[in-house]
Amino acid sequence: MGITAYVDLTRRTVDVTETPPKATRAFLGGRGLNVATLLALLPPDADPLGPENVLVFGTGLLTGYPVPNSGRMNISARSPETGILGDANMGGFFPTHLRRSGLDRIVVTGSAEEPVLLYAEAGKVEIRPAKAYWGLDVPQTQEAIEQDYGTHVRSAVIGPAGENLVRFACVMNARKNAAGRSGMGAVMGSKHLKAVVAAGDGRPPVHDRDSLLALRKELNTRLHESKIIEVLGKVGTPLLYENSNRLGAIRTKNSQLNQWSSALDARHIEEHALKMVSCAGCTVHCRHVNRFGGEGPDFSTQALLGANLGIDDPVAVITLGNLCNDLGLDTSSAGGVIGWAMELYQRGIIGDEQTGGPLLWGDVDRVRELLLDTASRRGFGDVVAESSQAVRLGKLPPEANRYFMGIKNLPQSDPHDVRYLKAFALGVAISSRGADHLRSRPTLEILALPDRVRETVYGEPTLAEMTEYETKEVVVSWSETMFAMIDSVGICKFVCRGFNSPHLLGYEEVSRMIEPALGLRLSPEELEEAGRRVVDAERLLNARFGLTRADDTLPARTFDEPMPLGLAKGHHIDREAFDRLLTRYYLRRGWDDQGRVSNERRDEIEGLAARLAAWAPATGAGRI
Amino acid sequence: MTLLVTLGEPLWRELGVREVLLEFAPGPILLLRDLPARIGLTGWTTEGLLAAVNDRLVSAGDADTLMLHDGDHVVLQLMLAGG
Repeated sequence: MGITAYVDLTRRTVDVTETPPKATRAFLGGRGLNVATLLALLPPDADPLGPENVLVFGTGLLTGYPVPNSGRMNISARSPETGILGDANMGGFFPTHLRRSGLDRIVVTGSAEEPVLLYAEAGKVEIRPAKAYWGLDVPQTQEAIEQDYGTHVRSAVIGPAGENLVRFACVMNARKNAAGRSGMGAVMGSKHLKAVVAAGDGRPPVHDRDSLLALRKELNTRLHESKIIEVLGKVGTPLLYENSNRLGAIRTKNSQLNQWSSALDARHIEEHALKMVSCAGCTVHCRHVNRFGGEGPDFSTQALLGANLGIDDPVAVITLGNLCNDLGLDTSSAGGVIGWAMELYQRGIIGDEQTGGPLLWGDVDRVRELLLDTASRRGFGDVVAESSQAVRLGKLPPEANRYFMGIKNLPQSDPHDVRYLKAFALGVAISSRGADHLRSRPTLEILALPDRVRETVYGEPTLAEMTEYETKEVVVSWSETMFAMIDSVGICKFVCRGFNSPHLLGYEEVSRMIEPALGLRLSPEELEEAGRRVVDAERLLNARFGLTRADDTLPARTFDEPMPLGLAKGHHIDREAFDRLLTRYYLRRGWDDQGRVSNERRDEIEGLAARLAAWAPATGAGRI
Repeated sequence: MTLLVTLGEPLWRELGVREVLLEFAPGPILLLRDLPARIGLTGWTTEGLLAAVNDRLVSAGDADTLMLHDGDHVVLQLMLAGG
């Protein structure tokens, strides 16, 4: 069950082997098996942009199987943007094609002397030259690969940002499907790996097809009855902008403000949309095709390249998003880092001599130029390209850190200002890859659902008040475990229980899918335990990189500056209450009050990860 | 006696208007819980929506007992998480 290809680009070797079944049961796949692989093979002192970094392309346990929304995978390595766990989830059609190529995961070490791509087909991987593609942007690369390999292949590629080691370069498949966060595109660039190409129509063998198809029909019917799914399919995530803005929760001008123009409301974005499209096997169809030759924007892009930069022109936001996608830049970090730089310029911490000219809020042309310069590391773009590492590298002064709106060196992706909802604040503070809402966002908090509903979801009483600190550790840890499981099986969070609705797919439904799909029995309880194990494994990995309790915190502004506008006016995070909440969260996870995983749990997880190391060929990477 | 309802995303799309002004006889008007159905929003309950009355957020639990009054301004909208 599960085939892993180990590729050493320095030695130009490929070894294909079975993934240890016990490791699969324990970590499932996707995000879970990826972190286990990093625990097994990644030297703790590995340079994120050096050949010793381990880059893992991992499909989820159910990716490509005929179950709802199973089109996702994770790409993981040590992040050049943060220095800790790098991990990005990606949809589109590449993940299912990778599974259909007969492989579940590809583990890449070393670095090629010349640009190469990996070609996966029929359970094999070949290292092939890719010099002809080097220098091309994302669409150009994908089109050239299709010309050379045929339209039946799907590719995960980097653009110029990845080639030039921009620390927030992403990996792209199709126009917009991105493994966006934490710089996995730069890791590919450092290995001179331009693309992974997956071919073949070898659908994964299904243990009990009739039962699985019947279950798919049942679950799809249920999903289609959901108002949430219906709305996401019609409007997409841009609908969140107006509603968050009304609350006063849209991060604006690097979070100096919390409300912005209604010109970016979904209805104005839709004026430039042609249709909605989806990833493989999707019931939602959440993504716009825009009339400027790209796809999107999603909510994060809409707000971070809009409100966060003082831009109120929807056409500008859409085209800036398209440009990021073409260059292979993570829109969240791009908007976050440029907004940070704009505030530094506003405050006189950096000036024209460094920026090469004014860097003013709302200057669309300047932002467009800066994105191009960033991808090419020209001028001030070379500073932006370093993201949070610019201070450590001496390219920005130390006082710049005070205005960095990120956590664990990762700019916050969520446009939602977390000062109002205390569970949201805890969620981004403890996120294993840095400031990010997709690890644990307890969205149900904002609805303050009735006691009986919350108790059914979370299994115990919790406080409804979203601005209180008590019991928020319960909802965050519940969500974190659920999302770790769903990422590890390769299913989209938009259909996951708790992300947007208490009625969608959780442990019980996933357990029912796994048996007919794989002939493997994993109870709901075992799936929940696997989710916990993945969270613990990520904690262990980050501890090796030196993270401590002190890193589970929030930007200074979150504590020190009350929100100035809207319904949320006056709210901020109280340091002492947050500190107590953090302790309660640690203890709930079974960690000590410093956030350390117990020795027993560490031994269990490292023992399981060691199976991966034992089964891996000599890759040249380290061993635990 | 009037009640102003502002519809956020995506509710305004169902009714085709941003605001609804309801007129009533004097006295308490209706429970917040009953408002979506009263204005013709089908398939939505306050359990799945974010409601604010006079610029104060109201929990879904409280919507069952909160009586609306003359002059109240209610905002109804959906809140989700996005990627």
